[in-house]
Amino acid sequence: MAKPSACHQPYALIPQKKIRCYDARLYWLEIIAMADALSDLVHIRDLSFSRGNRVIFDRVNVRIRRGQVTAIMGPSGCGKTTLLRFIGGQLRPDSGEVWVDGQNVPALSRDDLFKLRARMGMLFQSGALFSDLTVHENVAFPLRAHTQLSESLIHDIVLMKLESVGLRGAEQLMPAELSGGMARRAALARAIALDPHLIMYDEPFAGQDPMVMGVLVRLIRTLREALDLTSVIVSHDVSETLSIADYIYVLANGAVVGEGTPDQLRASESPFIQQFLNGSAEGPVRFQYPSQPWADVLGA
Amino acid sequence: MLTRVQALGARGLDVVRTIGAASVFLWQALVCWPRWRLAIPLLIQQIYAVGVLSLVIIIVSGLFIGMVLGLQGYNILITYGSEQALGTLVSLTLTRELGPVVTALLFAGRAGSALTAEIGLMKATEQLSSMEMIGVDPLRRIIAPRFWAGVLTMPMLATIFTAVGILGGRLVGVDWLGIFEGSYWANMQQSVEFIDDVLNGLIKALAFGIAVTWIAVFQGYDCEPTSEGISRATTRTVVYGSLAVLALDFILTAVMFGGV
Repeated sequence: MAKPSACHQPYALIPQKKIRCYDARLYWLEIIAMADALSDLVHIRDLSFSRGNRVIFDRVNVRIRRGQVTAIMGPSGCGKTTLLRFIGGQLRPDSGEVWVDGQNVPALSRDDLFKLRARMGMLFQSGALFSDLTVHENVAFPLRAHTQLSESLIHDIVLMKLESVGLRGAEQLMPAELSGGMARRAALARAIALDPHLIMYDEPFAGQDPMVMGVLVRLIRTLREALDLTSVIVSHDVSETLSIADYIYVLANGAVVGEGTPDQLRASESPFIQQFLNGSAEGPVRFQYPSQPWADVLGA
Repeated sequence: MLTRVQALGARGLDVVRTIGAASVFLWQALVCWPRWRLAIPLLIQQIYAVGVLSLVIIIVSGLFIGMVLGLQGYNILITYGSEQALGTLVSLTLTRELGPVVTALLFAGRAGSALTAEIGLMKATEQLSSMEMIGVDPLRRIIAPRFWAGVLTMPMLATIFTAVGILGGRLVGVDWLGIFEGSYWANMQQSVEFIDDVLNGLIKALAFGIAVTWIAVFQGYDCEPTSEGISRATTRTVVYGSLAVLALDFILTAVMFGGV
């Protein structure tokens, strides 16, 4: 039997005097490791992915704990939304593993993948409501697709979900008749229609006025508390995200450049993290796209 | 020179890759255990969108093509004194060739382009992605009903086109040019065989329906999700669909009537 690594942290947690023999220590180690793994709803291990010659992710590791709000932040184009697509199985990595609820997503069959997705919810940046269905039909869509509930029960559930996002009165409107904020709230009601284990928010605050932004922040927080939802937020809106996230990963240049609780990130000495959180043009990330010097351009 | 050969090779590989992707796409969309409770309403909805809404263009085109056939046929036949055979000429031309082919070309332009644009726009607005994330396969929910609707409606539309064309030929031949109505219908009845002409025409229409609808739904699903990408995909549907119809028509005609 292999000796466990000395640097394995759970091993250090076992009180020495309670361990009678080596086998018992291994048994406890396994239990602790299993509990540790179960506490993660999503575990991304050594994820690498390229598009052509452009490296999007290079051995990225991310863990999303059950019942927590985890935020993925970073500058535009750093691969935040792409990471959500890996969790949802819409993309396959070049290498690495994406474990969701104990299942390795890239290794799942097409049918198993769709079954897993039925336990997830995703709020798209655009809302992505079905344009030929009313708000009510949009929210009822996942219920009709995955359950055998009667129409009257589906109707009641839809109304409850719409009430929770403040749109019960808009149930008969078409998506084209909704404002941007209303469309996003209707999409949120659809995303939670099946009471998923995991909900992913893709840029939920982008392009919203402060009032809608506040409503969305409150909704995300309420959903997490009321339904014990595990939430992943992809965003670059610093203040809103820091106010609701339990843990934050900061991505840049294909890697995780910082992680921690909001307080840990605020206290970080990393110049990149400070530049990102403070929205400064000065720092390791250049504001100007690389170009020739002005003098050369003007022929001086 | 070497660069051109390389470019040609790369193009060839692209074509093979696209055909492979389109085949896998169709396989995934169609090979599954149907859920009739959901599938039937979706199919009926698509038959309306693809078939019923194409009726006007099919009927009007069929009428005018039948009238032109009647006029041209009369002018040729009268030279040989056999203008009474106009019914035979109009009906055989329509059932064997023009009915299926022109219907398929109109279908590619009207329904095919609409299917591509609709699916492409659903992709661009992330509706297909959101359906995937809800755990509903868009290939089975969006693509399969549209494909079956196209395949089922094409023979029906071709039949309607042919019937209206024959009436158009009668309108010109009998009512305008004065051919005896009895000989118009009797010659037609005598010369048109159900299996050789009508059934072969329907088989052609079915084959064209499969080709055009397959191209249309694949182009929509595979398009670049931008306004320019959708526009290019729509154009490709009409061009590839029309070329596929004409090429298939030659192959099927050679198989069906080549030995005659």
